[in-house]
Amino acid sequence: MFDIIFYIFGAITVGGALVTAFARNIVYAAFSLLFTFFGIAGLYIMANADFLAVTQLLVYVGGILILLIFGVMLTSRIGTVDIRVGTGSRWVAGIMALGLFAILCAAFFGTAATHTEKSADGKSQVVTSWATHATRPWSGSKWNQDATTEALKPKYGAPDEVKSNEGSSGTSVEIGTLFLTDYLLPFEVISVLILVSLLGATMIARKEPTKEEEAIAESVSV
Amino acid sequence: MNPNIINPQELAKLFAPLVKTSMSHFLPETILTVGFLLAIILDLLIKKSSQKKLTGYFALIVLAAAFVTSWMQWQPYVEGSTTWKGGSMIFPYMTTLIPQIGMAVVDNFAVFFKLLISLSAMLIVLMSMLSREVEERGRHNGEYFALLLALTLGMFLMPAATDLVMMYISLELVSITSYIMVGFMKENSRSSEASMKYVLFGAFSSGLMIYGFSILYGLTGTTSIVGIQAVLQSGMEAHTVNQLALWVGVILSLAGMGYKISAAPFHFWTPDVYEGAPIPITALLSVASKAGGFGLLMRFLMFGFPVDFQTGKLLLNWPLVVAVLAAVTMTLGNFAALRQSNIKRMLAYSTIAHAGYMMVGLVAVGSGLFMLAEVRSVGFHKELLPHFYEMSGMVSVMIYLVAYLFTNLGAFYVIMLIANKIGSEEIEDYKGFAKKSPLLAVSLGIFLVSLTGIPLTVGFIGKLYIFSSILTADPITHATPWVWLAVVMVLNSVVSLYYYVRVMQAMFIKQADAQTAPLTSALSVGPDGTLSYSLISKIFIFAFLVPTIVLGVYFQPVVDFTSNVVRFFSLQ
Repeated sequence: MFDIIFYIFGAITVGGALVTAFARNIVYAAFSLLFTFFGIAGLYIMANADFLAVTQLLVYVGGILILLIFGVMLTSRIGTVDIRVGTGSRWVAGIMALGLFAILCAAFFGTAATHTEKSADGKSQVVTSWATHATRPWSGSKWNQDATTEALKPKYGAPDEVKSNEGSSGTSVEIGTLFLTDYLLPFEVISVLILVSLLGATMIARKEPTKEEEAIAESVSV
Repeated sequence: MNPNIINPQELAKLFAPLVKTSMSHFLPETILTVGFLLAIILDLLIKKSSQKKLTGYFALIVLAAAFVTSWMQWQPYVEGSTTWKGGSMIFPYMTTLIPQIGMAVVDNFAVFFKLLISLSAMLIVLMSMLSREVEERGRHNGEYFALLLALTLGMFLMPAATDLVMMYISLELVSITSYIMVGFMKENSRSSEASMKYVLFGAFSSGLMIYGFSILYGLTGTTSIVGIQAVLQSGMEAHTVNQLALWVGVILSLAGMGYKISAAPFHFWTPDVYEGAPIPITALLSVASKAGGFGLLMRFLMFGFPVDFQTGKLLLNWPLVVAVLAAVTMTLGNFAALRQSNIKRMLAYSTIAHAGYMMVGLVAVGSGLFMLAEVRSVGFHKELLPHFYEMSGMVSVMIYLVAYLFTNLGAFYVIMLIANKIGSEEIEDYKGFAKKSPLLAVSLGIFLVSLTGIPLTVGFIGKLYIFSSILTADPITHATPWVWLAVVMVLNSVVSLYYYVRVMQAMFIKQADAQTAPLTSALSVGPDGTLSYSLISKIFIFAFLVPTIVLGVYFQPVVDFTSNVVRFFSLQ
């Protein structure tokens, strides 16, 4: 059942992306992007990333895509424009894309097959699912998770090794904690980044006053 | 309630000291952030566009403060000292309490780049104040200087970052600010076009990079590059590393960093952006942004990928990839520069070529790692280590960056002064310029000579050190695997001489045609046809000219200074 839903979402994502890439009409392309974003949100939910899924819906579907569609619809006669360019190199591009796809497939399937880790009862087993790999990142490395756990134990008791979100309150609490602990610096730098973007957006988008208007504005303010 | 959730107050108590120590090592960046915010407020307070330049002076003070506080973080290495510390990790992973991994480090390597970047940012602020292009947009000068501070903050974080997340965000901070700055003259269609192209190429390559990062994270389960190295090290010993997946991840990651340093094949944006941007911004992108990119790239490659101490081999043979890219980059840059008629475009291609030369130094960094591994595998030979440090590619890239800073900024500054008066950047219009302003013509000539790498200029020293680092024989096997790269570099230097000399030929030998004389505004021409420049803009040339010549002869201080840098934090 889980697999079937996964494939359904996967098909929606890939199908939407294919239509976006190959549509002759930009309106179709914009709308099919909706399916891609929606499918990705579904995949996030299946990977237990509920917060990410909601953000995906809010930001991409609710914000960026709506803006895109408005932009397309408010631009006159854009629907008749053939947006595909450079048909001559389409075969080359196709072959390159397929080649890249093959390399990526080889890389990922190769990874899943060679990775082994210890299960709860101490036996080592081959892990074939990529999703479980990240649960014990430090296994076998110099700094193993156990030392960390030991350090934290007297304070909080042993934290769960595998942070599964099944039946929990979701990932948003953990994301929030990480933002203000491990990822404090990136979190703060992003706020500078957003301020820069705002400043730049106003600087670029604002209508420039003429020389006379500027002179009037200055005389009023002084 | 989830039992995993820790009481926030207890958490705060535990992490407060960590944040406090991190913040004490984070002073230069804090100054820049606060300065950025204050500059915005200052901009709002100043109403008259003629007074907006005040923000520039404020930015200068902030940058100087950042420079001084960075200088205080410098830790000169004392031979045999037991108390010497390579540096400190700031903003470590607090929930796991592993002190070795975190968001950024303050070590001599990062401090060197901070000094270099804040110095060039200060010079750029001064340059911007003398620029006509910037002055024409007087209303926005407040935003201009505020954004310059944010850009400097991003560039400060780039070489210091040791976490993929932090690397990506610092890179984006630099990129997004640069997009805005490039499109600063929005009435000018060239500037807007350049900005648009920059956004599109930038979005594409940072998309590739973040994809590469996600693969690296998937393979190792950590975003810290120190952690990645540890995981790969253990994987290498157990032979469980999937080389193909790792290669895909690394090459995709290189796309984003290669874009920042404008290495082939990610250089397509460079000529258009350099041509369209205001000249001070072009100069900043060509020097400081490139330096930050190199810092990031070096840290990523050196820290991320382990060396097998038994065989002395790197897990990934990335020097080979970098060597091929370096050869392609410099050849492409130099040959494309031959055909340019616009001097800014020509210098854009020349900076691509210079990125290629610096990548040669990066290849030597890789060989240095081989050597270090061999030194360790045959046992600790004390006499070999200084050899490793002084001849390392790391030092050579840094010396090159210092040389490049003064030379390239100087060249762009003179071009800006010329464009201020004649309103043109075409090499055709430089004909007979030596008569119009001998000082400018001679100094531009010296900068171009230094860019070529002719002795008695600092450019020669940079090239020399790159050259010796790449040709240094392995102390154990006595093999020099990169002779072909050195040959490519020499041939490229010869090619580059041609187009640099072409500018000098136009200035000194050719006569200005009467018909096609550039549009010189009547005010700026003196009675005998010379161009008059204000005293301050003339004096400022010497800020670039003096280091270019003095460091070309007396370069030992630079070498000594940079040799301190290679004593890394956690890689000693």
